[in-house]
Amino acid sequence: MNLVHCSRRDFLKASAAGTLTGTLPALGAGAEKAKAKQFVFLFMSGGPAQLDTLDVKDTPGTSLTKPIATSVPGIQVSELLPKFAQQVQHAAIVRTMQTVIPDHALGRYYAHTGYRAAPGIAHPGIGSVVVKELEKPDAALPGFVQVGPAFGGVTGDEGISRYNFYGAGYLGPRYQPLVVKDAARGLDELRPLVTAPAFQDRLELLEELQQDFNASRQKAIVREQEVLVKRTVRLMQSKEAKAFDLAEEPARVRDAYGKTPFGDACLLARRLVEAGVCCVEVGMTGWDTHGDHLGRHQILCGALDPALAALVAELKDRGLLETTLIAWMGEMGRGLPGNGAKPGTNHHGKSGVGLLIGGGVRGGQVVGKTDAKGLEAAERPVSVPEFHAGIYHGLGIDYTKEYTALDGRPIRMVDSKDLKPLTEVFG
Amino acid sequence: MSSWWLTLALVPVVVAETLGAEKPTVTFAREVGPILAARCVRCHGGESTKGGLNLQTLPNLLKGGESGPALKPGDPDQSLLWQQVHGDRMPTGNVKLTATEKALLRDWIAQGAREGVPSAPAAVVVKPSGAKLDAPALARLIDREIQARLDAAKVPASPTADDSEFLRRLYLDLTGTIPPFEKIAPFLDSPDPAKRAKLIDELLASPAYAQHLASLWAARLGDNVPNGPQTDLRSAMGKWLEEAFASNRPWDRMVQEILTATPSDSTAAKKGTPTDSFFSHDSKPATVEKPTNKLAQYFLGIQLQCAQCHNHPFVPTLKQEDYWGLAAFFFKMNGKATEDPKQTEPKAKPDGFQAVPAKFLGGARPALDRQGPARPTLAQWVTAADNPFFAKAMVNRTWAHFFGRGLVNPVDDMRPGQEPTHPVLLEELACQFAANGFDMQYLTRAIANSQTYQRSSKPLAGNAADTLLYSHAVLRSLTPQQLFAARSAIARGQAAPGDSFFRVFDPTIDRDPTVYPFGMLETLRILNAGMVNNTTAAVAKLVAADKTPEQNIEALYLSALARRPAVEESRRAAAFIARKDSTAAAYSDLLWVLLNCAEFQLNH
Repeated sequence: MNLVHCSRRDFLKASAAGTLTGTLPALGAGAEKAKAKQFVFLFMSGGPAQLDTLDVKDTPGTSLTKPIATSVPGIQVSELLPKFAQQVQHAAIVRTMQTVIPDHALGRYYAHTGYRAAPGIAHPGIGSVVVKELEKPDAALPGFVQVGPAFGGVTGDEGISRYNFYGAGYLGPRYQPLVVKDAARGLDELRPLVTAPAFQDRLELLEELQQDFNASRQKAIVREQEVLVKRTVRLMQSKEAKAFDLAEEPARVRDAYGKTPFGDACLLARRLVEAGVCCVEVGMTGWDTHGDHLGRHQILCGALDPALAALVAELKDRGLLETTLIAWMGEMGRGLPGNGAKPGTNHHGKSGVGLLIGGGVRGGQVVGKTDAKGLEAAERPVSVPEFHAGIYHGLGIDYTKEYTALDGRPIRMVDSKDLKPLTEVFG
Repeated sequence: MSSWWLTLALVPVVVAETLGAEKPTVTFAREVGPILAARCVRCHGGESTKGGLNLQTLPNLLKGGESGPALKPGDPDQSLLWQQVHGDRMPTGNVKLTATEKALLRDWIAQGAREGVPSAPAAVVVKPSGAKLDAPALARLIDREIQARLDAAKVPASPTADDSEFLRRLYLDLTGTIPPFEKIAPFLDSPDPAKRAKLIDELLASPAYAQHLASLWAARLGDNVPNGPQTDLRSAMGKWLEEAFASNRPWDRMVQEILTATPSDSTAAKKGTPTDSFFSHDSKPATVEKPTNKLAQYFLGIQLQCAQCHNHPFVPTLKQEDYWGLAAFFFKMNGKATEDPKQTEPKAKPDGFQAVPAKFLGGARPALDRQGPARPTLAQWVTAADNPFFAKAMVNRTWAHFFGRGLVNPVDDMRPGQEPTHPVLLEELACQFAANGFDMQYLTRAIANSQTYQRSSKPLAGNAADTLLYSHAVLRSLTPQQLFAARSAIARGQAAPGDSFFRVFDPTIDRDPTVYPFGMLETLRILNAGMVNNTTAAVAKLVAADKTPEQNIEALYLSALARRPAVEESRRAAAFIARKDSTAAAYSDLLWVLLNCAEFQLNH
């Protein structure tokens, strides 16, 4: 489907700029150096507290947890993340993420698309953009898989609204993620209802009996239906489809990931990366800790910490960490804890945290600095579009590219107003 | 019968208007602009102007791009635009200009590349009709108008669809599912020459018709993500719509009732009227943008939401002020005596927002009773017979329901620059719809009885490329709701709640049905989900041991595709069944194949 075109204009502009300064355009150079080819997006729905994860403060009334030392001297994280603390040499910690919008649905939209939700247009999420730019058309597995609880749009219902929110948007259904709701169960309906030989017989009969109608009506829609069935069957019958089956993993590996839904999802992400899937998004919910902030964060980080650490370690062991970029973020940060026995925290859009790991990232660094209360950026604020531009840069994608929405209007891949892309963390 | 004669009197006038003199004047505003917009502007327009060429306006065409002016008015052969287009060097994609479009383009340049006057939205007024037509007469008018354009373009029309094609199409369009097994053979075998018209009447009177329409409109007007008829019709809005469509309540009355409904008050126990979800969002009272956008989109056929934040980019006459003028009617939504200051302004104020007094779109500021609610005044203006948008919006949307595209397309983008493919037909349909009391079944009956609707989807050599002239029926994808209903009718598995089927499907409503909408996730569900692939039970019902394989094969074909198999198909299927060890399993395989072919998944 020819829904999207990239304009030559930016390329020409970039070339022109290069000519004027007498150097190669920076983007082209970056693209050559990019090491990452695959992307894992870990999304923390609800808004993890910066003060009790990656930006712990000693100002009274701020963090409820204590800082601990990490594998990198001078960098501390919350005591709730002891295993990840030993992997910080691979990570760039962003402490000044400007998520801006302290509302879950609109914030998730912004965190995924880099654009504020607006009537009349559905922007693509970062995963769909990555797949559009990097997917190999002949791959057996789909380019974009989304694992774990979906937190779709305004309804909060599983998956229902993802099309309107940060799915493929105007890029069209081709770049829509394949959704695995429960990693432990694998992909629904990947197996046929009959035995493999019987299914093969059915496919041959289908081929034979559809001929007359399909030949009498040679329209794109008929061909598309045929192609979709073929691609889907190829996935069903491929060796790579085994990647969706966690039962193939030894118990000790599942244990290392924490044996939680999020742990299973991260393990599945590792299997999918190994099998060549271009982009995997893993979701985790529950970070909206308006009540019992500390107790809830203990449980949430208890699931996050082993899963994230195991994912990084296993990709490293397999030699895949250099070519796989992991990004971690939520749709907002959190404010200061309230009063009472089990205080909660409210939404906070002015400063949150994020991570970039592997994929050519110079590990063991911190980007940005907040004030004493961890609520406002004091140095190097990083906007969501800047964070996205950094990811695209790391993947060798020209983030200045322009798309055309379905109604014909040109839209930049990344909203580029006053953009300071987060490219300094690479190399 | 008297109006039948009136048609004869009317039609020649209409035809003459369309064909006019030998070569009608082609203008940029009416014909050429829309062609360029559809075929070329994706690359040559707006900010994406390849080769520096913008084909959106006539001055820009004359200015041209890097290769010079695109036009030499009066001389097609010396015009770059024609040189690029006539040999299909442009557009670069697979979709080239049709012969008709090329002919129009050439004529236009030859005639001097005239601009024409774009009609402002307010200037388009439904003409008072000279004669009120009944449904059969309106059906004939449709056919004459369509035929006139086909003749002018020298495009042949495909023959009438056979009974199977018609039966399946009509059931899908009017009831949202395929015909039930027991109705199929009797219809195909009936010698009654009036059987199609009778079936149309029968289906219009059936509960399934009201349920189908209610389900579509509940998704548009209510606040739920569509989940299939089961869910949609359980809502208060769904029930109300079902009753309204079943009793054929006039469209203007339905809209009046919806616009003047009492929304439920979140602070009090007071329940609203059944249609109050028009004003709410996720069961919370919505900001005024929701009802304003729905009103514009569904009752007026206009995408107004661009003007929410800035002046409309494509319609110079639509200012941000117009949006907020229309929205102002909803500020006193809860019927409070004094304006609640919190409700006089939207939740998220866009740049440039200013509170403005209530104003009709493209029209006057009415004098409002400061104490009373403003919506009755709005409802009156919307549904007035001389409202320039109301009747047209509904006939255009209804047309698209049956033909896959509106006479103006997209159906909710009726503005200057989006000119109708058949302007006279659109005027006449709107005019007759209003003259017949906004009677939905009247309009549907006329369209469904037309030859235009009853054409085969099998293209001819001379019309395969046509997508605008209705030379053959368009292939449309079943919606997820239609697919689920059709599969359930034959092969519904047990226990699975219907709603869960839809979880993987795109909930966007009113998608372009000519684009295949499903990806791999959806296809996995269609191929492998037990809840819609229970072929064993279906085979047990349809196949009998004491019948010949040919008879059993025929029963399966009728049930899934509403047709009998061709001789060759029957032979192939019989050979397959003979090869397999288990006969029951073999029939199951055959039925699965029939459920998963393009012929099943398309409305054709």
